[in-house]
Amino acid sequence: MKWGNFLATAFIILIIILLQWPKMKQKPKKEKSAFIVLLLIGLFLSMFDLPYIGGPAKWIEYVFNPFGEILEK
Amino acid sequence: MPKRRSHFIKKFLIFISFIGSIFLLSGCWDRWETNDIAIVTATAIDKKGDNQIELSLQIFIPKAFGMSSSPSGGAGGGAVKELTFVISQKGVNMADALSKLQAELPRKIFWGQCKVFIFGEKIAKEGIQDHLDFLLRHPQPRERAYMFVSKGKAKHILELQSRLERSSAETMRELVDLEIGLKVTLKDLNEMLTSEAQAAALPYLKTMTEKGKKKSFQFPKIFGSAVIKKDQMVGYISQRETRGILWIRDEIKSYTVTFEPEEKKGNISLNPVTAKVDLIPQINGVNWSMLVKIQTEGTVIQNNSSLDTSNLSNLKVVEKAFQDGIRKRVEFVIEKVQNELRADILGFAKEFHREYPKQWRKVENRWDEVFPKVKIKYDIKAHIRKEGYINKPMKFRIEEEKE
Amino acid sequence: MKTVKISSLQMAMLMYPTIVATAILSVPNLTATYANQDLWISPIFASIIGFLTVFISVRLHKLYPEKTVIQFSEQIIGRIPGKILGLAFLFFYIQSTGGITRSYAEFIVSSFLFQTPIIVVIVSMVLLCAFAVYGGLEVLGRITQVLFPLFFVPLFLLIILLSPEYEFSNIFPILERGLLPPIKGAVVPGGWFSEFFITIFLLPFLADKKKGSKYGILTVFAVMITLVVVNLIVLFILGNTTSSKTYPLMNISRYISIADFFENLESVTMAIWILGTFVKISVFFYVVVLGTAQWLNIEDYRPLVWPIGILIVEFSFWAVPSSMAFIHYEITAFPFYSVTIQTIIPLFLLGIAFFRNKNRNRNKKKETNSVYK
Repeated sequence: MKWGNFLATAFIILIIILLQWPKMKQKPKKEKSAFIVLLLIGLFLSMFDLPYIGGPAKWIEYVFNPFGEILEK
Repeated sequence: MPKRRSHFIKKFLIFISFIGSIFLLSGCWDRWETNDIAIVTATAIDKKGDNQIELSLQIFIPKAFGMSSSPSGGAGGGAVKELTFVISQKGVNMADALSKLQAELPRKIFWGQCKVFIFGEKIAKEGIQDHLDFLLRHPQPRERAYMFVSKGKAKHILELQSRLERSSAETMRELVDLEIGLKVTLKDLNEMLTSEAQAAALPYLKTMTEKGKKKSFQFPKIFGSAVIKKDQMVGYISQRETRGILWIRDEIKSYTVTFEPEEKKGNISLNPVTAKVDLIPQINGVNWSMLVKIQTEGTVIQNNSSLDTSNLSNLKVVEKAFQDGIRKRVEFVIEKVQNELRADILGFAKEFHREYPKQWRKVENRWDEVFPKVKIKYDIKAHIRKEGYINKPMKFRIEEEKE
Repeated sequence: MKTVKISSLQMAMLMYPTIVATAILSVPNLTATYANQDLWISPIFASIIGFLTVFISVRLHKLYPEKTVIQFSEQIIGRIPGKILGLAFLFFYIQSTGGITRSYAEFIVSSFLFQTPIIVVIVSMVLLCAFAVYGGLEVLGRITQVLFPLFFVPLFLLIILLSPEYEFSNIFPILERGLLPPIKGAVVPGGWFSEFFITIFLLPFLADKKKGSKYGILTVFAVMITLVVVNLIVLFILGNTTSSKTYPLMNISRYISIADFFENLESVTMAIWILGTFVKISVFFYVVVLGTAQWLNIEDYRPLVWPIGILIVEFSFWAVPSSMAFIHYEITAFPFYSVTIQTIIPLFLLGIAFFRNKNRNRNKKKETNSVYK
């Protein structure tokens, strides 16, 4: 876990909320919750050392590996 | 009231983000002012000791340039102030030596203007690919930089002074640009060494000494070419032979041909000569042959022979001699390249590959054996189109006057 | 949302840099790895995928004229499977956006801004794109209309200025080892061509819908020609060394030298590349944001721009430790992934929708017949 990344992301998220929230006051609850949930996902991901943990690119490479091998032949 | 407060917060945040962007806009991480960089004009790589190399950089001194251009500046002693200086360091490879050099310089080394790379003969004989890896991988050195091999230490060439140009590096670059000898850029070298033939020829530099009255003056001169096979220098061909290579490669430019017509005393010189050269590979069963087809035209620039070229039958004789002269040049170098050096610097492999890909694949791995056996056929057509401002040789005129 | 309209020319101008920008930089080297001197043939094969994808997307659009794939996939295969498929699309696009951003930043950092932390390059680009996306599709369309000449003209100039250096005979022997190597080489650009599926997100907003398919096909054709030409000039100049370069276009643009002073034009390549990637990232970003909003049935997508921007930055780092790993991913996984998501799945969708509509039409006919009876 890298605190620097986490804190920086948290700070950016704070700015985003402060700037965007006033505009969203009138919006339905659904919109507000989607906004918050997506931000929380971003905050959650920022807690990991992303380049070095297996992520989407790894999974996809694993799934499509057989095709890639055909190409290498 | 709360509305106004949020308005204030918003304004404040926008202000903060604008202030913040100032740091980004200046691009401060990669701020490179011209007075923070040391511009490398030429680089020399030499062998030093057992496993080490010596990297020498010729660095441009901007201060001196400003002074020498202003008339009041260097007028004092009359001595020309040097515009460059040379520093060198040893290391296990180029990157290592470079990092040591950087420690000695107050400014950051900048390769973007380095247009000359010289390999010392010793290191060229040992192999240059390790150093090419650095030059091609590093983002700064240009693909258009010219490559040389020098006799003796390459560093010595960098230390020479130049009379006409700003530095010896500039001299060499201009020399190559004239296209009298070979012109090989970093890209070309990379291409030639990884091509089918895996052989290249680089201009070979020598230090010449001109003895003056007060002190002698030394300057670099291109003296034929160094032949590189795989990545090692395997031999040397003379300037005359290099011309032959230029003929075959169709790189001949503004070049004077002098030859002697048979049984007639004296020479005839032609300039400019234009040529069209085709290499036509032929495979006949197991016999591989290469047809060298040259079509050339020239203008008489000096006639010291006893032949009047305005006479058409004489012209035929002269053209025949011209043809033979070219053939001799070309034959001579092909003979040497095929049998002595056994390095395909003429690009025959490429021609065969392009024309006969299937047959080529069979010999791909033993081209070294096949290349010397390739038979060469010639088809040379040489013509003289113009005879210049006078018709008969000067010699004739004088003799006529006497009578 | 009905008020948002762009012209089909703007769509073409959005799509062209979207495909070409990243393709011209890395495709020559990736195709040369397999096809060697036949690398220029590969884009022609690859464009078949492009034409197919545009065809599928136009067909789907005709069946569901007001909707994007996120919305109509629910209608085609049912609510829950539709949602899952929608999520797959969104995941693909957000991850691709991350990938594009990463490869953009890797290029900038390894060629120009050596000491700048990569995060700064990424964040500034994503921020810029976020503003563009926040402005909406109309803004995007107009920006590209302005930027398009700035993207295309330098590229064209580059080709002209390099012409003295062309070594035309590098093209021989053509098809030395048969058709297989260029077909293998076509796999990687095929991934790029299938990105034409993005048109499905733009077609509903066209002002002149009739021209949509015409311009779509035209764009595929233009992209194909561009890639063939770029591959050819790279081959003409670099010859057999093409496959060893990371950014061949970069190397050749540095090789320009006109009259001894008009040199070192790599900054032109950088300008083209930044403009193009800006358009590309913005378009992908837009697709993600719009798709997410539609997936969640939210009317206004604008608030989602910021959180998704953060996610894109995070995805650009996720599991790609180095540029080598990224290139490996780009060769071995991306083309198949991209074609599966953007060409094969839509093809199935189209098939299912086609049969369903047939049935429905038959039923409808019965109904109308009964009414008129």
